[in-house]
Amino acid sequence: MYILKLCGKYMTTRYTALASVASILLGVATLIVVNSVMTGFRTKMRERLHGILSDVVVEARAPLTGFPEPDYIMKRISQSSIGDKIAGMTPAIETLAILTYKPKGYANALTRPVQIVGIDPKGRCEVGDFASHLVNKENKAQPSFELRADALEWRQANSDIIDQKESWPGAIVGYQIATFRAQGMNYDEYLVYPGNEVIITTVANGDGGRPEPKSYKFVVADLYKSDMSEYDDRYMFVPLDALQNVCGMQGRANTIQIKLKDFADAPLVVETLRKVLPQMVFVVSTWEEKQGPLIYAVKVEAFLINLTLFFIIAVAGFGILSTFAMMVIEKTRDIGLLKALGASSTGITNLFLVYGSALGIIGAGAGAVIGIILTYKLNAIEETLTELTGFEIFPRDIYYFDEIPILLEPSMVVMVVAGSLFIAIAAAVYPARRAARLQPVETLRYE
Amino acid sequence: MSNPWPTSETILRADGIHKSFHKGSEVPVLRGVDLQVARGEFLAIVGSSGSGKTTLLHILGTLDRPDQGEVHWRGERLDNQSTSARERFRNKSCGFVFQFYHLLPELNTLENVLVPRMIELGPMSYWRQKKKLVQRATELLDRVGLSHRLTHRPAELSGGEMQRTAIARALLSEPEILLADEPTGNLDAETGQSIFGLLSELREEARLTLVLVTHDVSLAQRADRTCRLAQGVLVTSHTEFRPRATIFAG
Repeated sequence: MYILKLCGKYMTTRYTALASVASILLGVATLIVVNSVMTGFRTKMRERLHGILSDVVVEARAPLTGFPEPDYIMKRISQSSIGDKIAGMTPAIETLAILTYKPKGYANALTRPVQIVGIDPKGRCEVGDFASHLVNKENKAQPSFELRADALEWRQANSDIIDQKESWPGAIVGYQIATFRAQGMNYDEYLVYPGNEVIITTVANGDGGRPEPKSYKFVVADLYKSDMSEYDDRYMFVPLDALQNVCGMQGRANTIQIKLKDFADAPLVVETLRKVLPQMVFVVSTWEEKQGPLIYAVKVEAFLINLTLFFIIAVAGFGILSTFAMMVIEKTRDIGLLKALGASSTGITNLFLVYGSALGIIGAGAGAVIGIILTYKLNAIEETLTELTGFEIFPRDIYYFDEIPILLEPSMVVMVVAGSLFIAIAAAVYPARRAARLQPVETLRYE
Repeated sequence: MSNPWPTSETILRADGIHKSFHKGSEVPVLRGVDLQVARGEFLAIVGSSGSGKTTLLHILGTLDRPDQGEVHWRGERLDNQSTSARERFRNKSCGFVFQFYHLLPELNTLENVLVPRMIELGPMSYWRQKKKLVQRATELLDRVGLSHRLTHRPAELSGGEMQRTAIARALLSEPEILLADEPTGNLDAETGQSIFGLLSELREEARLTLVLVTHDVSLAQRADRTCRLAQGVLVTSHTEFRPRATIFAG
């Protein structure tokens, strides 16, 4: 009973020990907030990375040549042992190109490199989250390269700068290719509108397989806005058959996107396809393998931040250790008295361990509560701070998120709290053992 | 036949106790002390500073072990008992009163008195018996004249009040023997007399055996028997209890 009694008294009378509690509290709260943001960021980013790629990608080892008869390849895949695990498949051509366009009012045309993807919009929707990233509402419901009302209206209004004589295939252009935001502006300025004509210059298979440059005109039908600058700044989608013509790849493709019923089957599917398809022609990988470096970079970043923040708690642990070591010296006489009155060495050890645990529980518990509240209120706090300071703490145009992404995982909270408790208790072990070894006779002899 | 009190039954016996301290070289403190304490006896051990009085008391109370010799409690060897058995002895059978009171500064007077039972009992047992224990501690504090100081902390008490609290604490477990180490040594003469008087009264009320270590010969003369410790040897070797016998040798 004396252990609980004295711990209770120490908690309410020894304010130096509360400094250790404050360190643990701050460490735990910060770890929870940072982890929630990092996890939220990682999850959103994975969603977006996954959005443009299907679960498994079969690519031609020679992209400019591609592979013939994609429908036959897909049939072989369907009939293989993993055919029942596949939810959908679609062929595509993906290649590098130069985009040329002339914004209204500009004297000269502008050019920039892009990644051009030839797709069947319907098939693309079956293997990934494509439609939801399209800006036009009609296309969100039913994606198409047909010009919608906004594009037709724009062409009507700008008939002086467009070529009405011929009809060109439609194209869906990355949002950041088509727009820009000048410094200090809070809206996007359009360089290319739906209805604008653009020229694509790419490398086509010429006579005898010799590559040769080829240009073709497209009309912008819609914009693609995934909020991932990696995609919005680089990608442009055109009809598969149009790109096949441009590239001299009639009846060919250079990728097959495969959507699985359960992504957990991805390793098995990849392993099987590597056996089914000749590896000299095909490269098979999951979307995670393709985006490996980016995902790994975020993972490493999260790990390093966690490691750094955990040092805060480690420092708190040393705070407890030094506080307790001082306390053992200060309490030598009291420890001697307790032993003289019949307290055991184990009891004295437990007194300090329970006290350390109590400090840990209070620090980690309060830290967890504050961390959770801060996490849920983080966006409101960010907005208030931005308003008060006039400095944008979370620039939305850099991160392309409408708000700070947050994902609070209960298992993470439990791990952080348990780790902090462990440190608090471990820090109390040495002073506790030292206290237990004290001889009552030595401590009581002199004042 | 009436039960005589004090009795001639030996309750605590020390045979050939040797103890040395090692501070660079070996410093012998006790060189073969033989002592017998009868049940109910009030024994005073006197001696000059550094004569080994406190060391002897610590060995008798199992706070320290002798280098040689044996301590017997009610006929059973005590000094070689297990650590837990010796802890039990200190908690239940023996009460200590120290020169410097040794009260826990975080606890109030009442809580300080309750400490031995807090050590003995787990939280559940303590809570079950708390009412009874508080009542007993309050009665003891009332007996030592501190009923008005129950919630005061040691820092708010005078030296005499702190020693009264320590005496109440020593009596809480209803021990059979009280070992007092210079209980008046840190008090002025008047308060010292009062504390000594209190100890004597309580001993008679509770039929306690009292071993008191002091350098104050005038206080020691009021004991049933007085022994002098000199040169590490207890100069008297009376094994038979003789009421009010004052034996000085050397």
